[in-house]
Amino acid sequence: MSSINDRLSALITAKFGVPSAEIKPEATLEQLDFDSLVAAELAVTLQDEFDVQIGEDDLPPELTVAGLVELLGSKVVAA
Amino acid sequence: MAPTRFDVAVTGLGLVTPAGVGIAENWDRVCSGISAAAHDPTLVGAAVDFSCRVPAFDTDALLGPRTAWRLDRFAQLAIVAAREALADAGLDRSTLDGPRVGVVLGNSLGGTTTFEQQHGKLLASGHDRVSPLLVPMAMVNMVAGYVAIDCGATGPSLVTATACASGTTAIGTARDLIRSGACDIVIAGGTESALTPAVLAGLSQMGALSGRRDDPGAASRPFDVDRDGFVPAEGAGILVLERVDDAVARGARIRGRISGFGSSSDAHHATAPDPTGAGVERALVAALADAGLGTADVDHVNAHGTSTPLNDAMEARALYRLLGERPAVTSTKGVTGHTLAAAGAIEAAYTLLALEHGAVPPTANLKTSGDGIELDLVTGGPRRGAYEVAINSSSGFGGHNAALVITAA
Repeated sequence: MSSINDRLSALITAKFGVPSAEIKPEATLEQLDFDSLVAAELAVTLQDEFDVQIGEDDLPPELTVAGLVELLGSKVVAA
Repeated sequence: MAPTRFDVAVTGLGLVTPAGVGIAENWDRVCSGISAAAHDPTLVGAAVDFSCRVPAFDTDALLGPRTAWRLDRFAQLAIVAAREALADAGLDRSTLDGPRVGVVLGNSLGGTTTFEQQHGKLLASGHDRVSPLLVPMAMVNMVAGYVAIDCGATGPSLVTATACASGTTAIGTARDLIRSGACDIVIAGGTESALTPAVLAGLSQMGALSGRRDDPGAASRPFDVDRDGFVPAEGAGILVLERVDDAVARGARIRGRISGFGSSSDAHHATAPDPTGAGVERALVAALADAGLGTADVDHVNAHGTSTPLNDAMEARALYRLLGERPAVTSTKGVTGHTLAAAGAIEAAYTLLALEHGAVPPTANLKTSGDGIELDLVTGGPRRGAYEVAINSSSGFGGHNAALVITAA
C-alpha cells in the first residue's frame, strides 16, 4: 500500500504540478484542483502507470487521496 | 497627427518571440539585426533542422505548475504575452470590467505539438490511452478561451484564422469591436507554435522553407537576391486596445493608435500569391481609406517580407506601385523568422515601437535587393527619424491579405 501511495504522490506532483505538501490522505481531488477534464486525464495516467482498468467515473471530486490509494490497491491486487 | 474619432488607442504590448521574452528584449534584438535562427535540437532528422524558437523561459514559474502542463505551447506563449500586455497597460484582472472586455487572437495550426504526440500514443498504445485533454489543448479557438479565463474577460472572444495574416486580422477585428461599442477593451494579437515534424515536412515539401542548413543565421533574408524560403518560428504578440477617450480618462500611456484596417482576398491560388500584388494593394488602399489618410502620408512600412522568392517579389511590386520609394520599409522576419499566425501581431507591436522610438529596425541579412525590388529598405542598423504614419501588411496561404494603418501617439 505504501508503495502505491508513494508512486501516486510522485505522479500527481510530476505530471499534474501539485506540490507534494498538498497531497495529504484526506485531500479530495477537488481540493487538488482536479476538474472533470483533469480527472479524466488522471484516469488515463493511472491506467498507464498502474496497468489497471480505471475510468473517470471512478474518480469523483470528493474522492480523497487515501480513497484513491485504496481503490488502486484493490485493482492492483485483483489484477 | 490629431486622433480621429475612429482611432483606437494601443495602451499595452506583450511580446514572447524568438527575439526575446518581453518588450525591451524584443526591441533591442530587432534593432540589432541579428537573426534568431539556429539549429534546433528538437528537429534532428526532420525536414529542416533549424528554426527560430522563443528563448528558454520557465513556464511553470510564469503560469504555475498546475496550469502550464494543461496548455499546448501556443496557448502558453499567448497567456504570457497577454499578461505582459495587460500589465503594460496598467490593467489587471481585478480592475477589468469583465463583460466589457473582449479577446481576439489569431492562430492557424493550433496545438500541433499535442496533436502529434497524442497521435503517436494512439498508434502505439490504442485509443484508450489518448489524453482527454487532446482536443481542448489542440483546437485553435481555445487560446482565446484560455486568455479569457486567465484575465477574467467575459465579453466576446474568438480566434481569427487567415493563416499568416491572422494576427493582423485579429487586431482589425478587435478594433471593430471597440468602434462598434461592443467592447471597451480588447486583448488582441496572435500566437503560433507549430514547429513539429509533420508541419515542417509539409511546409518543406511545398517548397516554402529555406534550405540554408549550413548557415541558419543567414537563412531569413527578406527581399534579398539570395532568399530561398522562410525560416519557421514560434511566438506571440498581444496588444491592448481601447477607445482613445477612455485611455486618456484613466491616465493610461498611449503607445500609438490603430487608425485603419483593410483586408482582401487574392482569389488566385491555394498558396501562391497573386504575382501582380493586386490583392495586397487592395488591402493597403482599403486600410488607408479607412484611416482617412493618403499614400503620401505613409512614412514607414513593416512588410510581410517572409524571405520567400514569391512573396517578397509580389509584395515589393504592390508597395512600390502604391507608395513609391517614400516610406522606410523593413521586414523584421529577418530577425524573428516567420511566426505564421502570430507574425502580424508581433509586427504591429514592432511598428508601434518604431513610431514611439523614432527608429525603424533593419531588415536582417539583406545585402543586395532582389531583381526588380525598388523599395527604400532599411538595412544595417536602425534608421532614426520622425515617423508618424505606418502600415503593417500581412498575407497568408489562402490568398488572405490584411493591413493596418498605425499612427504615432
